[in-house]
Formats: sequence, structure tokens, C-alpha cells
Amino acid sequence: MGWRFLSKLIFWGILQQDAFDKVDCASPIERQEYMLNIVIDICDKEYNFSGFAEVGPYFKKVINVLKQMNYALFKSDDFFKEEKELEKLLAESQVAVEA
Amino acid sequence: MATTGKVKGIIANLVIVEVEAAVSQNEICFIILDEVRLMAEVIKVIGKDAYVQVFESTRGLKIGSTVEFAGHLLEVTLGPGILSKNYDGLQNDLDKMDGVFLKRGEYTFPLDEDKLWDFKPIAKAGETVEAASWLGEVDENFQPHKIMVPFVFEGSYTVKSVAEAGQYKITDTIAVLVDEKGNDVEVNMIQKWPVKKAITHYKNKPRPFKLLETGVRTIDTINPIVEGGTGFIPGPFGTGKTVLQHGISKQAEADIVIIAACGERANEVVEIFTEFPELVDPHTGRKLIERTTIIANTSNMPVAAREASVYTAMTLAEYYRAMGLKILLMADSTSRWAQALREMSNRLEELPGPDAFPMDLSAIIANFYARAGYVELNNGKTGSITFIGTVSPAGGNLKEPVTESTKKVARCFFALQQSRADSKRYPAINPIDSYSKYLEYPEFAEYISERINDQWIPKVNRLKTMLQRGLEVSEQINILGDSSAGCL
Repeated sequence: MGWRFLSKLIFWGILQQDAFDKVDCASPIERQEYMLNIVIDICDKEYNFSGFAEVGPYFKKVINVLKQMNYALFKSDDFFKEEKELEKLLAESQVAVEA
Repeated sequence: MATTGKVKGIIANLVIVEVEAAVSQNEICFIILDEVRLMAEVIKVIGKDAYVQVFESTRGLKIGSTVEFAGHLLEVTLGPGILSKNYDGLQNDLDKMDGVFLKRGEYTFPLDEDKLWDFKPIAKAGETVEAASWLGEVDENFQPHKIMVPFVFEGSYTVKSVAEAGQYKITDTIAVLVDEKGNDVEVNMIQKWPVKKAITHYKNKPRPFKLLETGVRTIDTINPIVEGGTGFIPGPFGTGKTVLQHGISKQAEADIVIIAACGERANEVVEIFTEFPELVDPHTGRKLIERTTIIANTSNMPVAAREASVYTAMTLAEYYRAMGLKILLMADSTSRWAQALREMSNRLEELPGPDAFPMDLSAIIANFYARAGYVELNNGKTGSITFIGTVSPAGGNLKEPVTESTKKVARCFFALQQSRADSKRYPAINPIDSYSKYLEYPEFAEYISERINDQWIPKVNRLKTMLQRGLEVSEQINILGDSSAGCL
């Protein structure tokens, strides 16, 4: 898996936050742990892409869902809705799960 | 009778005084100018000449003016009522001053002398106490403010009596102690302490290890700072140093927040003054200002008071640490303080170091950062001062002396990136350039294993490696082109 996409995923998916958003401006450590585990799991999975051109748009979608999770209240309905969306997205391109 | 002297020379706010008797280094004096008394501090003594830095404008000062020495160093007044206050660098209560502009030579008492405090005794008659022992407690904006045996007391004392629970003014006697010679000593709620001397009335100062949650993911997850730790935020103009400091002040899990606005633009300080009283503390639901003290010394105030402002802030923090509280001290910016040191050093015609800063700049910065830390008090409780300073390197040059000297002593480095700030992404921390040395501390690893889990640090390190590899690959693609990206 491309390091470039993984680093973008890590940065945009969890590290960059919105200092001016009521929810995203502060993240308790329990939430940070939860999100870190999700991102590490995404990094550890194997993906089945038919071409290089598919990788960028796919990870853009993943990053977008992670961002929406960051904007939602932790473990709220919106948060779990986005998490389900993420699982669906991951299932689409995943062929095998490795630790 | 107080020592006096006469003004012999004036170089901007450095004044040379011919003294009539001995004066000590860092002693406070007052230069008499008509009806006004200008506060100054001795910074060098050569023979009969004392070189003093004046904390006010010296306009109109004449050769031959009388100078009176106070016989003590620059001190702060410590007692209940410090929280929620807006002070200048000399601990003048700004709210007690009239008018929009500060009048030269006007000094105000930093505490409220008439306010009644609900006092509850802690010590009992017959107990042996020493400096910094807790005698009682008052409720200061819902923070337990301990009334302590004054730090200047030496040796041990026996408690003769402690006032009963009730309402008292800060000047009322709340305890009578008996010293080793059998003399009675009355103690009230206020005490004084020289700002340039660290308050070291604690048993032990172990390496800090407890994570200080700031709510900022780039900090907590991959570059954590700890309770009693030190960090600094370098960044050129407009990269969001102040935004980040404000964010950390609001969200960090600290009991008390002290903000030293040292040499910053007045409009930024006004922003703090107007914004903080409105902010709600996410931990308690109360106003954030109730557990905050602001020390403002803006860029249009005399430079000498900038130095005083950071020391005043640190001394207040040490006072609250001795009560077993967690203090977050933010100084914005230490570069302006260093510039003040440079101005005075140049006027003293000292041998200049790099970029004309004083030769001992590194030592001054290191000694200041060393005052922060996690301590075990003599009564077994713990307290901490977490210090985060900002540095404003001219032109974003991170190789300039203040940044370099700070880098040597601060254990965390939060690098701000211009491009992120330009695209309005705050906090604009670059996660790869930033670092935290606390990740290498075994004490921290042990703590984090219990607080989160034992896989946390290995996961964080993996994350950092992936970020680093991503950066390397992007740089490679920039050189080789997109066609090389297939395997990367």
C-alpha cells in the first residue's frame, strides 16, 4: 500500500482537527484512542484495486468519512452512522484482513 | 534609613545611579521625578555606580534626580484573590487603574484588601510546621486556596493557635506560630516572594510522567506533553501560535491557567481580556476566567517590565503549585522577553553573543524553564507547573539564538507550519517536524500503559514512521514524477 496515501490518511483522518468547531476543537484521549485504532486497522488491511488511479479517490472518500466522524459527538448516533459508512467503504475494496 | 542615590547618567530606560551606600543586585529602587516615583531594578553594580533598568518611560528624567532604594528585590504579593485578575508585569491590578492608558508611576495593590474569605483551618494547635505548610484553606473561585506558612520563614515552628472557621480579610491574623526561640509570630493570608528566586519548598522533583490532556490530537496522540513538562511553539508571524495557546488554555486538564502576554501586540491581549470572561470551562461548566490569571505586558509598554512579567507569572504558578494544584503556564512570547534582555545588554555595553543577544541567553532560558516541573510536596501531595512558551523567530528562521536555546531545554517542540495556517487549518502543527521527548521516558510509558494500554506507544511510533515514509515518498515523486508513484 502506498505510503503517500497512508500518511495522508493519518494526517487528514485523525491528526488535523478544526480548532474552530465546537466538537472537533477538543478530543478526549479515549476518543483519540478509538480513532487511532480505526486508522491503524485501515493501514493494516490489504486492498484490491484494479489500477493506481483508483487509489487516490478511494482514500479521499475514506478520509472524508473519518473527518465526518471527527465532527460528530463521540459515540453519538451520527458518529456510529459514519462508522458504519466507513465499514461499508472498507468492505468494498478489501480482500483480506491482516493484523 | 533607606539607601539613596543620585541619577548620574541616562541611556533610554537604563539609568546610572551614584549610590551612597551598598545596594544589592536586583534590588528595587524608585527614581523621584516631580510627583512621580518610577520603579526600577538594579541590574549591575560597579563601584559606586548602580545600573538600574526602569520599568517606566524615562522621559523628562534629569541628572541629579533622587533615587531611593527599597531594600528588597522585585516581589509579588501572594494570597487569595489572584485568580481572575488582570495584572501587568509588575503585578499591578489593571482593573484598579483609571483611564484607557496606564499612568506613569502608578502602582496598585494586587489583591482585594476588603474582601472577606471563608476560611477553614487545616493545621491544629501543637503541630510542628515549616515554610509552605498548610495552615488553612479558603475557597477562591471554587479552587481550594491553601493559606501557607510564609515561604521566607526558616526553621520549624509550633502552631500556637489557628483562627476558627469563618470570614476573614487577607490582612487578618489567621494563625499564631511560635519560632524555635519561643517568639510568637502572627501569620495572615498574604506573603511576598522575590520573582527571580524559585520557590523550592518541596520534598522531591521527580521526572514528570502523567499525560496532560490538551484535547489537541497532534499533541496528545503523537507528541504528548506531561503534567510538569515543558514545551515550546515556534512559528513565524500569523502561523497560529496564539490560537493554539488559547485552545490549549481552554481545554487542558489544569486546575489553574496563567497566561503571560509578554511583549505581544495590544490588540491580541485585548482579545484575551474580552474572550476569556465569555468562555465556558469544559471541565467544570463555569467561566474559564475563574481559574485564570492574565499577566499582560504589551509591546507598547517599557521593555524592562517584559522580563518581570514572565518571572511574575512563574512565581504565581509556583505559589499555586505549593498548594498541590496543576498549573498550566503559557508565555507568549519568550522572544519578546529575549529582545528586552538584548536591549538592556546592549545598553550595558556587554560583550554580545549571537545576533547581539546576551552571552548568557541560553543559561537564562534554561534556568527559567527549570522552574517548571512536577513536585512532591512535604506533605505527600503533588503539584505541577506545565510550561509552554511561544517563540517568534524573525522571518521564521528556526536557527536563531532564542529558538536554538529553547530547543535545548524544552522537552516538546510543536512546529507550526505557515502553509497550513495560510490555508486556515488550525491548529497548524506539523506532526513530522514536531517532537516530544516524553515518549522516550520509561515513567511515561508505564503511566500510559495503565492509562490507555501497553500498545499505545508502539502504535504511535508506527504512525510517526508511516507519516515520515509518506513525506519521503512525496518528495521522491516531486523529483521523479507521478509515473514513479505506482510502487510507492
